[in-house]
Amino acid sequence: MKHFLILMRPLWSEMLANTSRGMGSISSRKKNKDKPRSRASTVLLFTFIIVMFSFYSVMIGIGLTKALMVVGAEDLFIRIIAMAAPIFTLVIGVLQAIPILYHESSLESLLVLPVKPSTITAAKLTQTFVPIFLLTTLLCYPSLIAHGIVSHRPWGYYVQSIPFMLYVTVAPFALTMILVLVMMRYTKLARNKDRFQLITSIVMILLIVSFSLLANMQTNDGIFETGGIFSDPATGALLNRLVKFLPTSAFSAAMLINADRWSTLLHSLVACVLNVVSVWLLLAIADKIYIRGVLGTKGGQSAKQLTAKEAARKLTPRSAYRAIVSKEWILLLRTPAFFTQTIFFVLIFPVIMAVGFAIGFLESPGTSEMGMNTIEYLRFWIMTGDWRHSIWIIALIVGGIATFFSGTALISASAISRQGAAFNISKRIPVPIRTQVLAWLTPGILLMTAIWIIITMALAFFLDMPLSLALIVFVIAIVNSYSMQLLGFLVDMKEPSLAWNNELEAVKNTRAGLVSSLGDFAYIGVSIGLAFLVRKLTSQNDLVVAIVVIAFYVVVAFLMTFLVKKTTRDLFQSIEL
Amino acid sequence: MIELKNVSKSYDGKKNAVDNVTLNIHGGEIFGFLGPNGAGKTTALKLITGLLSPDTGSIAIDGFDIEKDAIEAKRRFAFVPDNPEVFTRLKAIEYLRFIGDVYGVDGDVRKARVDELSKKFGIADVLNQQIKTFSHGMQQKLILVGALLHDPDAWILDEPMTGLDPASSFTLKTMMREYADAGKTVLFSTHILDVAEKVCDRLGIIDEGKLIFVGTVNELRAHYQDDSSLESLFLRLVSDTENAAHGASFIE
Repeated sequence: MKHFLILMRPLWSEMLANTSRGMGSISSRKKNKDKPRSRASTVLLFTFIIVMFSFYSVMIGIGLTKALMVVGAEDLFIRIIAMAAPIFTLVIGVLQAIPILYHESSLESLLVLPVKPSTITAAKLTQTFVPIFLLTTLLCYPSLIAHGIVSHRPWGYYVQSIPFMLYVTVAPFALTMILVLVMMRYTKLARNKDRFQLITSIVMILLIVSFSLLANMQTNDGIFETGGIFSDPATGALLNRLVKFLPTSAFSAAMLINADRWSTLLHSLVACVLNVVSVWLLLAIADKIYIRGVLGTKGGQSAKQLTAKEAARKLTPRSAYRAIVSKEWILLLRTPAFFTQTIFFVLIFPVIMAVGFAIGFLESPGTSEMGMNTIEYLRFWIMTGDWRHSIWIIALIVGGIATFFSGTALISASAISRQGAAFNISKRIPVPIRTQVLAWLTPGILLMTAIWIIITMALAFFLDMPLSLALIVFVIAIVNSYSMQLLGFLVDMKEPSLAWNNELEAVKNTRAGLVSSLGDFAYIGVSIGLAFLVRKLTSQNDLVVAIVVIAFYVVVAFLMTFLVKKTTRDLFQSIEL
Repeated sequence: MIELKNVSKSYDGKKNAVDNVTLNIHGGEIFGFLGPNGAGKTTALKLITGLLSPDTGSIAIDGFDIEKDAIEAKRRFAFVPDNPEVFTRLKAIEYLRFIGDVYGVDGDVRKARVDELSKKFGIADVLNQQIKTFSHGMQQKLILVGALLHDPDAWILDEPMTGLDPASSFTLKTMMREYADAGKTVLFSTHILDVAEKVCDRLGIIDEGKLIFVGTVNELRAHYQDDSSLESLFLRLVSDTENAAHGASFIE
């Protein structure tokens, strides 16, 4: 135990440093060497994230509980959380565990210490579990408390809610890790860490997408008003059956549901024992296979030798711009963390939204007196030319969606951080900064453009859009996507996170990522506020409002371009390695 | 030719990591930078290559200021850092193509040089592999090949022997000599005094950011009137400087 605690100190520091490094508290800028950065901004950002997640969690807790109370099924909420927490643990666990557990250099530095391998294994597993547990708790616990207050649960409920979170996450984590460890040790697929991480990440994300689409297909009702699929008796029964497949969740849910009875202690005891057994099983298996599994993985595959002809072909000259763009694409596509967090996410997100909306709209009952579904109504609206009077609304909707997509697409927002210590190459190659900046921005802007070409074509096809409307949609989308890509890039250049140990740190929790993915809400809010202000000032002159909104987008795009042009040279120079 | 004029650099605004260094390194010579750990060798090399900006003073490579004419200056040198930090997901051949592209190396020339240098450093068989599968020494060799691809006028190396096997180390030393004999500048830092003694035409010894000696090994021997090894002379010089802080008188 003593050695375990000693080992946890650097691992815990590494965990915190990784997060705070991402938030910009350890970066490579000249000024940081002069004085230590204030932690206030980092704390503020963390607080904001916690408050935001808690807010959503509480809202879902209140909304669902009220809806379920109407049908007298409020206990179902606890089962929902008892099911949701293991799912979060599974998904986050698989995505996080591989980079943390299979970060070989860190493990090698521990293996040379005079500490038992089982202690090292336990410490690494704890290092993996803690962030997963904290995130799952952040997503679930506030809604659990909100549910307790709304449904007037007894005081025992609140006491038991603390071990509840542990009971519903520890065992699923242990089982997930056993699966990962066994695969890493014994399957051929997992011998290549990159390939395994890439495939598991894609499978996990596709599972989430499928689940959300399934949920979307089963309900057209607002979840907050009626409880959605969860208030459906069949779904409730299905959920009850599913919970039984996860004994720890079943007993933990029973523990909370019966918080005012003595039987709660029995349920708690059983849940606790099951968790202890699963942890014991994990440690026993991990002790046998974890370290061997890590040391047996390869970072890449050996490749066949090049013939002189092939080598000559692969050395064909290109311009410096094309060389940098090509290098960026290769790194984005070959690095699992970069690919899943940037390109794959960007590609899959609009698909989820589009399919979700399409299903919802097609199945929706008549939205007008004419008895059409939403898509038919939109087609009719476009066909009659009424859209011309509502361009400002189209501008706000398309601008908002494009801003949101682009804000969550971290390609440009991680362009500098992704380079890590290899940024020294960018600093010393004889390529003008302007060319390098253009090359770094190219993948993000190209990808967003390609996506919006596809979305616009799909919309034009499904809604029978005239060319003029399709062009308006496309231009507004591209202008806003461009602005957000530039915003993320600027912040990343100002606060790069170059000193990372595993690639996830370069694209997750970075200041640029946060600013671009949260700043988009502020930007959308300002554009909506501006539209309504102008509308009021011009006595609802929709044409003027449309012109002002579009002009606002264009001005912001120009402003961002100006800022990038004006500041990047100095920012580039001041990044010191 | 590399010229440093009154160059100073501080990380914390209090103590200078490089303190008012003035130095000329000529074409046709191998110049060795020596000094204890933390003396300022790597900082000085990073300043010369533009990875850091000096607080005061100026640095020019072949007459081009590294701050004002950065692109022209960067075209003229190649840098091999002590820690091989490269884009490890690229294949070796992709990295070399990238370097060839950004330095504008002609297609035929780059093919010939990649072929020649990769064979010389023993990495010809692994050019199609991702760099992340390489050992430290292999990565170092790849960076050396990349550094020489554009035939730079100045070759700057930070602890270049670290991680290299004896054969590659010998190849490197031979190539440094050939480069200098061809009228080009070679500047490198090292802890290995034996290498410095055998390879360098001139030495610069830096301690606590200050350049305390510039000259040949024989000049250092003459100063101390001692015919012993560079190692013992180096230790005496550093010790004398720390005790008396009179190093300025040694500088040419």
